[in-house]
Amino acid sequence: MKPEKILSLFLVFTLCFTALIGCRQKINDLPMDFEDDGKPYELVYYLIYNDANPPQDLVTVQNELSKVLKKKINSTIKLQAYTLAEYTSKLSGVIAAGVKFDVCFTSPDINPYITNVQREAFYPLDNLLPEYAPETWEQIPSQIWEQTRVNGHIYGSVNEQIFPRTYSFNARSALNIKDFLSEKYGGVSTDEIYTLGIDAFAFLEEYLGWLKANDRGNGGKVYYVDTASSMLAYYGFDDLGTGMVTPGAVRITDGSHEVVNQFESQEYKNLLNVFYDWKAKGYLDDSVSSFDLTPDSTWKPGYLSGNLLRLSEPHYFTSYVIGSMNAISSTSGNPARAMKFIELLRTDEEVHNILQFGVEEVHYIKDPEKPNRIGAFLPGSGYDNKNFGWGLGCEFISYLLPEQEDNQWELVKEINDNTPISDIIGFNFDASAVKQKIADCKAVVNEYLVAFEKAQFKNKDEKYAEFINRLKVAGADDIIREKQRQLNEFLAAKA
Amino acid sequence: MKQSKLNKMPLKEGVFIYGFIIVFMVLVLVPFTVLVSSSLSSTVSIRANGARPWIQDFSTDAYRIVFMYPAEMLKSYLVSIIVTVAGTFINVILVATSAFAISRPQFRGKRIVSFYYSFTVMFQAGFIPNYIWFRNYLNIFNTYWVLILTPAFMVGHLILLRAFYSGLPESLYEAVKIDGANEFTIFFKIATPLIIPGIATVCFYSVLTYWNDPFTAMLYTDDFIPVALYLTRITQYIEFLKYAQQNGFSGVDFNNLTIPEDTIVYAIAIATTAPMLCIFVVFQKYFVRGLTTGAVKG
Repeated sequence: MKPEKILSLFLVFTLCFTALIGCRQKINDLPMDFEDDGKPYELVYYLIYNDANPPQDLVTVQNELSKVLKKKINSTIKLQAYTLAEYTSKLSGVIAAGVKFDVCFTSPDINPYITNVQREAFYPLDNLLPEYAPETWEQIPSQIWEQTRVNGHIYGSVNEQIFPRTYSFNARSALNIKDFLSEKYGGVSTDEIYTLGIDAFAFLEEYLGWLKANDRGNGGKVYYVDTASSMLAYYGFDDLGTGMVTPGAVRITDGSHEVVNQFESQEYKNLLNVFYDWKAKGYLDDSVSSFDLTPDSTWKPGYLSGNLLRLSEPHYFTSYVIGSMNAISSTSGNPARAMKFIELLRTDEEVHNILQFGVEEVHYIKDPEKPNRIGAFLPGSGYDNKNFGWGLGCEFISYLLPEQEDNQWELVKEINDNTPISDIIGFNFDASAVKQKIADCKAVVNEYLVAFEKAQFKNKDEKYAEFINRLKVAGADDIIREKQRQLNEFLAAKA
Repeated sequence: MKQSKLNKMPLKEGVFIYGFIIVFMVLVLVPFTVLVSSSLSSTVSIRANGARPWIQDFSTDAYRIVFMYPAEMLKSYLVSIIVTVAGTFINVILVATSAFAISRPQFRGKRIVSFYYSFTVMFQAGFIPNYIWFRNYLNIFNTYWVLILTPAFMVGHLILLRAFYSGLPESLYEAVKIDGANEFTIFFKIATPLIIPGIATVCFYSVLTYWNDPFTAMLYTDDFIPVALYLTRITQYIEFLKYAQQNGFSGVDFNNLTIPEDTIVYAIAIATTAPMLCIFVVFQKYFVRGLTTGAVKG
């Protein structure tokens, strides 16, 4: 055979093989209702573990939890823990191979929600939720349930944590933020600084200047600001669930529901000027890879020693309200039982805290004076998922950590309840019509964004014009038009 | 013999040659010294002055974090050693036999077979198909086998060894055949012993590949953690510590701890390369011999 012939034969084979891989059993016809037969069942739960190494002592936790679940829902449990960094890749394999399991964690970026729904990896929860998890169904506001809907169905059970996000800055403890605040602002706390009504960037500039003048922080040398585009959130842009790197965002402050290109906005131009100004003053040092001062959206009240500078009012963003969910696998043998387990995760203190802290006396000791506060963690105990309360079901039933204030969960609940839910919550952008254009735009944005934010371009204005132009060529306007059309439809349907 | 030649060398030439070797040695040794000294310095001084070939402000913080859980560390060394030894053995057997076969002119299908091999270099199935294949069909998910077999056939090594085998004269084989040897005897007793330097090179590269591969273990096992993956996770742990410190999390006494974020990479490099250095000492003589063998035979 000639090499060309062999080559073409091989191509045919590979194509056939790839096509076969694409075929999975269709599960569209999964029954929406599932009757729980009440027989003993072993649940399989892919736990996300918030540390660098998987836990050494998972077995003790698994046995203890099985004992509790046996009593409550006649089930035992098999746990498999993967770290935050590895969870997505591990689960994508598990799901692709059709491994039998019941419950897993999902969010827009970790074990991506929409992708997995499209792969038909998750079981629809519309009927299971009211029947087997009534408290969860009742307590989460209906707008937030709307946000989880894909093609009209709910595939994820929302975990209760802090829903509205607050623009804030994370200052390394080495940067002595507290000294700065006591010297210049009469010792207001990092949580209160926003109440003074000063502009965040003016404040940050003053702080950076103070650091430089006083030679504080790492030898007075390194003030790296990892700016990222999340800074736009401070100006009140909601990216409509596609991430800030995709053009098309809505200003939440003026209530106009007009989708604009956030990179063309005056706010973004101002931001660039700020960066170039900081660079000229020597506050930005892009030769350093570790971040000393970073924007952050995980602020929540009630930490005794926080270094997070709160700089804005909390707000409900479409991408963040579904930031943490539990989903039931479409391979589950008993979705109803899995739903009951998710309900327990959310409402049962015992179940939740075993998964978060392990077993009492084995992995931690309680505070002798307060029943729902951790006294100490036993060193080398082999299980400690303490920083993952936000991903297990309901953070409000977690035991308190030593550094948390007694009323932290009341404070968080207050923010959840008192922040008005933005009227675009519940809007889900269907990107299928402009998929290619989004990919093209992302490529362009990634090419320019970092260099802009580190103020690396010498001819900034020229590059900026070029950037906007290339975005237009890549189809930014079409994406914006599509977003606007769908948003208008959503608002019209709601009215 | 070499010694006597050098002794006869004129002084000028000797100074030149030795000078060149010394300069070269310094060029190679300095980065390594920087590696060792930086891993033993404090992270603050490294940040302020940069890495230097001498120890600044002696501190073992980085090693303390790397060897935080000695039992786990030893277990992962053991996994790495088992995988590397078994993997290298299988790799060399597979590659040498295939290379020998496709180097023989009388093997008719050798073009197709060579093409098949090189095809896999250009087109790979990727993570998901491999995962399904390993987990659902071969049932080797989360076993030693997946770590050993995944990188077991390296086409680069095949090409290298094929060149070695092709260099042997066909008449040599014919002579042995007349004496009654079959292909296996030729392979094991005649051809392979003549290309030991090539085999040694392949062994060495294979050892490196197995030893420095964190990805196979990360993707296809849950419980087998080789050193490379263990140390990758240490770097993640540092990120995690930094985050915890920023947010004032409890669990570690942060008041007196400077996280050795800059020196940890050097300590990790030492922890991974130290066993490799020992192995290199063993293999080194084969490299030298390989060079000379080539020269004599012409």
